[in-house]
Amino acid sequence: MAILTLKNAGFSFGDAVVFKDANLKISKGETLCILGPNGCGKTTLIDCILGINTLDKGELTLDNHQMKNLSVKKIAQKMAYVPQKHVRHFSFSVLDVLLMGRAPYTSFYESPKTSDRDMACDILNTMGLFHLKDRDYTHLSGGETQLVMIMRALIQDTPIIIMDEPTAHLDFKHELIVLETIARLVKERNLTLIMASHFPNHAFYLENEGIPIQVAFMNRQRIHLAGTPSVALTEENLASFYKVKTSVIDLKLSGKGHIKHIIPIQTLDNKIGQ
Amino acid sequence: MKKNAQTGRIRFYLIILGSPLVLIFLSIFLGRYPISVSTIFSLLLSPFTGLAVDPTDLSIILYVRLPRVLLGAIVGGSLAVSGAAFQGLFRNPLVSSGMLGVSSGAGFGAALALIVCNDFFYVYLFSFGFGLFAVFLCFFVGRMAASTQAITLVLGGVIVGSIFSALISFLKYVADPFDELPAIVFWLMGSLSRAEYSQILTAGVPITLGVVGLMIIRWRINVLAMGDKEAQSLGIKVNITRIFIIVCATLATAGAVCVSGVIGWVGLVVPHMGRMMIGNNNKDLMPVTFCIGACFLVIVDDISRLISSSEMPLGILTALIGGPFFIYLLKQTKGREW
Amino acid sequence: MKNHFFPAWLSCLFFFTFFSLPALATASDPVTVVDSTGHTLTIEQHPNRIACLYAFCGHVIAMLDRGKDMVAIVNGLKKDRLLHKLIPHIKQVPVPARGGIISIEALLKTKPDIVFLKPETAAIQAEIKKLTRFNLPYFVAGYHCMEEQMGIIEMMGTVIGRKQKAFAYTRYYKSIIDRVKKKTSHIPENKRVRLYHSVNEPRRTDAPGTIEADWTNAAGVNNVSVGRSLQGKGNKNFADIEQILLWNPDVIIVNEDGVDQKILTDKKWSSIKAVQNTKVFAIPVGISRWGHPGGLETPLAILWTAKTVYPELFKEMDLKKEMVWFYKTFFNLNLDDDMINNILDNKGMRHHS
Repeated sequence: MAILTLKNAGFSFGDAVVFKDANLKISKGETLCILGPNGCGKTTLIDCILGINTLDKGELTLDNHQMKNLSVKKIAQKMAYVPQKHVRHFSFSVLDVLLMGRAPYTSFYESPKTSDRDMACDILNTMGLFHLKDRDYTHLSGGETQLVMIMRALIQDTPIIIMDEPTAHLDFKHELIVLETIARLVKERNLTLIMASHFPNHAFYLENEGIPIQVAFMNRQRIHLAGTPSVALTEENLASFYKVKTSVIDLKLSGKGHIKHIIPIQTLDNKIGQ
Repeated sequence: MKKNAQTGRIRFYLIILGSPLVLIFLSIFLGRYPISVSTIFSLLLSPFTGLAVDPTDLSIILYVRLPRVLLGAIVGGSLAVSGAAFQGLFRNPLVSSGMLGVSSGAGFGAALALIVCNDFFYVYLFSFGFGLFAVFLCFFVGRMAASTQAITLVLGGVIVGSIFSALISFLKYVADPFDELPAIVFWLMGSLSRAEYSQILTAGVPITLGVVGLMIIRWRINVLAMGDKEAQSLGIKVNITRIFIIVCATLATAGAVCVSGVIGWVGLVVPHMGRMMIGNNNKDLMPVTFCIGACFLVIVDDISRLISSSEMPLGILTALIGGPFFIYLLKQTKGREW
Repeated sequence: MKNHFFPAWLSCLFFFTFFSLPALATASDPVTVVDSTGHTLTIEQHPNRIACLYAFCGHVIAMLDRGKDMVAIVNGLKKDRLLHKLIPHIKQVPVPARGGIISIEALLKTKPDIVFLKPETAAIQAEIKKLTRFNLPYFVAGYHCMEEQMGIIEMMGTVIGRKQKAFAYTRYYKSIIDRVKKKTSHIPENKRVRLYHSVNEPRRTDAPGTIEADWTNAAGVNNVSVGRSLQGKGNKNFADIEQILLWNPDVIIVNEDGVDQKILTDKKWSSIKAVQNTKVFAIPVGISRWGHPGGLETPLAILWTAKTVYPELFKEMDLKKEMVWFYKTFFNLNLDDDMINNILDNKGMRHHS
């Protein structure tokens, strides 16, 4: 049962076509990893799914509703969004930021209620981040900020979460912390996750963790649904898609089972941008 | 522990929300005309005691000081709140209705109406219309160079503000020096000396509409501060909310400009005093800012009334207080808090 | 020129006859006057404490010997040397108005019996309301021509109980106008001396519909600037230098010390007829600049201007004698020769700030 479908979708900025004839189908509890080089239009696609951009062609169905018939508020009750990099303007406390996740359930004249605060505290507790509650969020590290953004999405209590390169700008360890958190939450809460990434290994990571995941390649105005990472991320596909010679390794680790990973070897052409 | 914090918070709110009332009461005792404290008390109690009072004393308290102090509180509060709203809306702590050209736009509108028809309703309508026009103009000038919104918006404000200042100078140039010019000049210096109860009522309508609108939507300003995209993904109709906030803040500013002229700095500096006291959460910040703004202008006007027998324009005093405070703020925060 | 002036003249006449009639009532009865805004003021008895929120009124009241009873004034009056002499404590007199905005509490504190206002203040309803709320009687002293000014002076005299002297002054004023008119009225329009009047700054001059336009006309000259629209700045009017060159006046009179030298030496002005014939004259300065809209020496200004531009017509007229009589009669000042020369040399009695 598909929770989100994209049928013959197309979008362009004026004359510049970003994508066309896109078809995607995501089932509940499934993860879609959109791979593509920088500048291929992943963020634009995400904006279309979020309803920030309106499709020029085709249709987008969300939970059996035509997207265009849904109010901004209804959409926000179904999809939460974790930005690539959050720009901080005012020093709010972490709790204040989390409470904003309750906006879709708050009418325009209200502010969050005690029950909303309790919910935010619960999530901070389960994430083991309760100590951040009253901290000024402009003073958090990049990894902590991203975790706050993820928690805000959780508080939004939606079946779907959309993440735009959630680990960009993070260091080695924080990248892994964020990925681990994502994997755990998806499993625990049976979330549908749409994630844009330019690291194909992220798709393998989630597959290794046992999450039902599909890969979509996005390049040159096309979006191509290519199946699970094991099927999609072959050395041949990577070579033709990224123009990079790779080796896909399969390690057997005790306690972890099979771990698949792509090791880049060399570029096949030295052109920058495709 | 938690209970202590709770009572501390309640106490803080009582002090902050009560202080304008206390200041309004105290300001009744201040003025150039000598009326002793005991006279004022017997005057205030005269409806109950039935004692005879001096009609001049009564008039001064009832028709000169009280409406003036009340108007000052309302104007100060609404300028401060609209400043805070604009800062949140444009995610830019450097803006205020003054910086966005709303004040000069509204001032121009008022001056134009004075020349064209000299009717309070049109003075109000024009100042609101041009105030609104100015802020949208600013916004579009800022949009044109969308790169770093914060700085281009301020730049847009400078441009729009100086265009309207030029237009005001033009009006001064063509105005009748005897009939129209003095009224225009009064508008541009800012003064509460012409306070009347009728003004509190007429300006009170737009100010109340604006301030109440901002108070209703104040928590959503937080969400807007996350950026358009995130705000929309959080279920906020960004454009409608933004227009609602702009209209409310402009109503509040224009209402204030209509009765008191252009008083600068309040909308810029007072919200920062609030931010230092209570933080940036607009849910708390907006009511606190209103109260601080009310206190601020009442105090400034007290100074203006007492400093010399001919009153000093408020704009001079607010700039003299606001400028140094802003420098202190920059030094204190190194611009980082924003 | 003639077209422009005829209606203005008529309205002045109308104003005078209309407003001065009630002023003829006897002083012991309640006095009713109508000020320049049409506001009716009834006075039961002559005021003891006078608030003067208009410099012109301060001068009139000082001339009418009630300067000591002024309890509130405007800042401009504190700079006046004559008033210093008449009222030694003038520096301590409160100033409850600035920029046309009345500080009502400060004004009430002075307990005035009457308030004299300038028209700019009275134009604003809110300012008038401040006074009416406390039943403060007020009188607005606005005028645009000599007739109106005389009417105002007569009414002020009536109000403050100095009707005789006020009427004596306006009688003299009118007699001067008549004397000069008699000698100059035969000069045809195109033969009249073309005069440019510089006010404080070289390019600042007289606009149509002002008292300066009126009195220069009474002096029998053709004031070049009054038929034109000028660049206004506040209530000041400026002429473009090219416009002045185009006017090419025969005579230039200036009321600020040093401006005459500036005009005579400035290359931009050098081609003007008045400069080439060195007919640039500094107007005498006494209590105030002669012919200044708020001054009281306008009759002398008319005499001086007429004598300066038509010396042969006014040969027998002794200006110094007129001056001695004028200042003695109206200001109780005994002029010696030094003072007379100072006045005529534009050095004046004014206190330079």
